[in-house]
Order: sequence, then structure tokens, then C-alpha cells
Amino acid sequence: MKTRDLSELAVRNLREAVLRNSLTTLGVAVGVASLVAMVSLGVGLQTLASQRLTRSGLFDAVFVTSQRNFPGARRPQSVDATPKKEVRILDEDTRAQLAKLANVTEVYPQVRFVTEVRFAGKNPTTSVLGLPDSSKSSGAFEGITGAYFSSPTADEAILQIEFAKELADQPATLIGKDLVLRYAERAALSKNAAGDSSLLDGLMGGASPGISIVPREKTLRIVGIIESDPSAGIGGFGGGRVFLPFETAERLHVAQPGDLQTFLNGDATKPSYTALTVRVRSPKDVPQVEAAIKQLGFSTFSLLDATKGLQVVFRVFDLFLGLFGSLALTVASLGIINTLVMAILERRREIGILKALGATDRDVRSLFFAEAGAMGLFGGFFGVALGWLIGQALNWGTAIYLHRQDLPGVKISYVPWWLALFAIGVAIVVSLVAGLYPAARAARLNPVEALRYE
Amino acid sequence: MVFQSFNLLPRMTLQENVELPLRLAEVDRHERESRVAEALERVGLGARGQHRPSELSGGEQQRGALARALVNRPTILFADEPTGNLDSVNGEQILLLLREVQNSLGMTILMVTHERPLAEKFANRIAVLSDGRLVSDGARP
Repeated sequence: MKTRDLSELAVRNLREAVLRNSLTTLGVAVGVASLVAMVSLGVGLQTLASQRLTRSGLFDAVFVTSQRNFPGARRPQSVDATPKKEVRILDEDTRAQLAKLANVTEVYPQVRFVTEVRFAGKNPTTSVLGLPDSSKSSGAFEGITGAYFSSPTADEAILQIEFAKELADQPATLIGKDLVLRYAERAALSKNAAGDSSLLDGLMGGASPGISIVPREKTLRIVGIIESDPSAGIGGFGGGRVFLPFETAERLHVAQPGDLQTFLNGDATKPSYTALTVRVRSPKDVPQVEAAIKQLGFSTFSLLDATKGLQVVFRVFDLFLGLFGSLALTVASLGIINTLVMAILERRREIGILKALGATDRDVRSLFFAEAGAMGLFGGFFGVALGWLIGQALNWGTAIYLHRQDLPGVKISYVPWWLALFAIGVAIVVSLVAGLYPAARAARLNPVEALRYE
Repeated sequence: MVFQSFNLLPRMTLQENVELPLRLAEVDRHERESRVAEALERVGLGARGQHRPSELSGGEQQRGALARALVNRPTILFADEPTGNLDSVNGEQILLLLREVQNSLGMTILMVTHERPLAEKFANRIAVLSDGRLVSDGARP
């Protein structure tokens, strides 16, 4: 029989026993729906969890340092660092190179310095940190009083609440006011000016331009106060009290402990970094990116190194939810087998007639197969829709519950397109497999016996 | 094949029932239509193609079944008590039709029946079976 005739007959047969077939289809749909709901819950929770973890900045970052020992480095390097390889310096070129690696979203140096702040007659010393623009989207500023920086180059500051309390009893009143930052600027000297002031020039024999350290002041407007620490990270990378937009902080050219070392190594014209932070798309990508950076000849460190267990938890979680989902689908496929076997008993006569009129075993088998496949297809579509609805209901319920607890709402169920496609595919495959036995049985039916059955 | 109990598929219209053997034989779609119409015309049911078997009388159903049997242009037609479920008038009509078809299409018809008078009236050759044994077999004039 031709495919078109076959599908026409199959659809016709399905339409004729509407109630029974739609109940079976519903069975498939419920199975698919529970699969979709379970996995969407898994995906949603995982997204939520990794969002929270990403926010902490702990798990999606790789910290890169040159293999050289810096005087100010926090983590001592292993002393046997192979000296035969050329020591690579972290400079602008390296930064661009790292940014081009796969799955890297952002590369930025750490701009962090300890300096004096003047505000209303007080002048505490505190640590200042430049925040890359990406930290805004990470959601670390959810509980902010005031606003985030208006632009990445604005002369604005966000204060950490503890520090704000040092400046004023009512921290909220600080917003909109100005504070003054006193810091030491590192300025490169032109070759002509080098001879005049640079003490170091003598050491270098006038061959290289020197650097000078100049005291500066910068006025910043306080735009926000936060309670959480947006830059909490590894080994003291966090802990800032005053936050500046990254580019503003970088343009201050604040003298860093590494400057002298860089200068003595003879290349003061190119700024170099003590460390770079490489952000990756998701914590899963960390090991691969880390390996790539090590290959380039740098030292790396990531917290994920030490917390491989986290990945295991995610995987097991996925597996678990998928397992429950497929259990539901198994029940649904038993329903399909049942319906089709019943259909054979009921349609013995019809099968007999078909065979008497010249239908081959193959025709009969294909017909039953097509009917099973069609039920799977429809069931799959309905199931995805139903699963999505269940997910929405869960989201809605959670939102209400969290709202009562005065917590921000979260989306715990999420149906990505690949899950929808996968679920429909699974429904069709399961239905076809479930149709195998009934179809074979129908094909084997002896027409003489089937027609005698009256 | 023509059966005692017609065996038309109740879910399909008469037209579709007649078309079924052509579908199974993978005959071209447009050729099917004309052959179905021709077969229905031959049995006098040209106007009832859109009806379902349940909407037809017994005689009409059997004629429809005959149309289905003829649509493939067979060289031999088996009829299993085609008159068994019909009254005598309709039964005779069916046999007249069979005779007519046999004359115009030139096929062999093998028919089983319990009604000896009918057989004697229409058949060229009668074989009598009794309790599974052949009692007589003879050509008739």
C-alpha cells in the first residue's frame, strides 16, 4: 500500500474509534507531560542554582596569573616552575588572546587598591574595587538601595553597607552625596622628562622611560549601597568596600605593587597585570577553559577545581528526574500496547477482510504501526503543552508562596525548546516500539479464521 | 470474493469499500475513481456511492460487495453463499447479476449454495457435496 493511502486509512481508523483512541492518546500525553514537567523542574532548578552560584562569582571564573612570582602575590607558586619555558607576561595582548578562547565571556584584570576616602571630615582607609559591567547582570545588585552605575565610565561609587555605616548613621542618606578618593597615580614619563624626576632612571641607565607616582584626588558621587558583596571570590579577591565602575577605576592608573617589578623587568611602556579574571559561560566550561589557558603557559586557579562534587550533584539530579519521567512514559506505553491489542481483537474481522481483498502481512503491520505512531505524535504534542502548563502552575504556586514569605519570586520550571522536541520524539519512538507487538500480531492473523469468527 | 455476510467495512462509504482492493493493489488515484464508478454502475448502485453499508438494504449491500469483487477485474470469482442472507427476490437478483457479469466479463464463477433450485436455474455445472463427500458432478446443458 502507498504511504498516502496508508496514512489516510490510519487517520480514518483513529477517527472512527474517537473515544478509545483519544483516551490512549491522553495516556501518552500524561506520560510525556510528567516527563516534561520533571525535566523542566530539573532544568529550572539547575538554572536557578547556577544563577545563584554564578552570582557569587565563585564557580564560573578562572583566575589567571603569570608563572612569574610577584612580590604581592597571594598564592605562592610552586618553586620548581619550569624555567626553560619563556615566562609570559599578562598584558593587553594576552587579555585579547584569552578573550578569544571558546566559552569565555569576559576577561578583566583586577583593579583593586587600598586607599584613603574623605567624606564629611572623616578619612578612613578602605579597599576600592573596580566592578566589570557584567556584574550588573549577574544579579548581585538585587537588594541595592539606590541604583547601579549609570554608565561603565561614570564617576560614581557604590558603597558596601558596613562601610556606609562608618560614614553615616543613616546609610540611605549618603546617596547622591559626593566623596573624595585620595590615591597614588602611576604615570609613565616621556623619554625627555625621564631624566628629571625619576629616581629609577639612573638604575636603568636612561635606556627606558621611567614611571612616576603622583598623588591625586577624585570626586565620586555615591549612587547606591549594597548589603551583599558582589565580588566575593577566591583568596581575598573580594572584600571591597567601595565599588567603582570598572573603566573609571582603570583610568585612575592607581599604582600597584607589581608596577615596580614590571618596570625593573624593562618593559614599562606596556601595562601588565598581576592577575586576570576570566569569566566563562557556565561552571561546566571551567575545566576546559582552564586547560586551554594552562596550555598558553599561565598559572590558573578556579574554585571548581576543588569542588568537583558540585558537578556530580547536578548530573545525579538530572538523572534522577529523568528516571522518574521515563517511569511515567513506560506506563503510558503500556497503555498504547493495551489499546492496540484490544483494537486487534475488536477488528479481527476487518483485518480478515483486508487480507481477503489482497492486503499483505506488511500492509496490515504498517497500518497498525502508523496508528501507533500517530497516537504518539498527538500525545507528544499534547504532553508537551500539558507539561508546560504544569510547570507554569508550579511557577505560579512558588511565586505566591515566596511572596507570602516576602522573598523575590523565582522561576523553578523552565521548558527549553530542546526538551519539547526531545519529548515529542520520545513519545513517537515509544509509541512505535509499543506498536511493534500488536502490529506483528495483527499481521499474523489468519484471514480464514478471522472471517469465520462471526 | 463475495461472502454470505457481505463483509463490507462499516466505517467506510460504499465507494471507499469498493476502492479498497485498488488501494491495496496500489492502483493510480485517478484511475481508481473511474474504475470504482464503473463497478458501481455495473451493479446498479451508481447513485449510492456515498452511503455507508448500514444505510443500504441487504440486496444493495451484496451488490456493493459484488462491485468490490469486480473492481480488480478478476478472472475467477468465488461466492460463498451470496444469497444466504437475502430474501428470495433479492437472491434471484444477485444471481441474475452474477450471470450478467459472467457473460459480459467472461470470468469463471465458483459459487457455494444451499439452495438447489437456484443452482439448477443458473449454473452450468453443479457438484453436490454431502457431509464432505462429492455425491455428483455434472455439466448441465
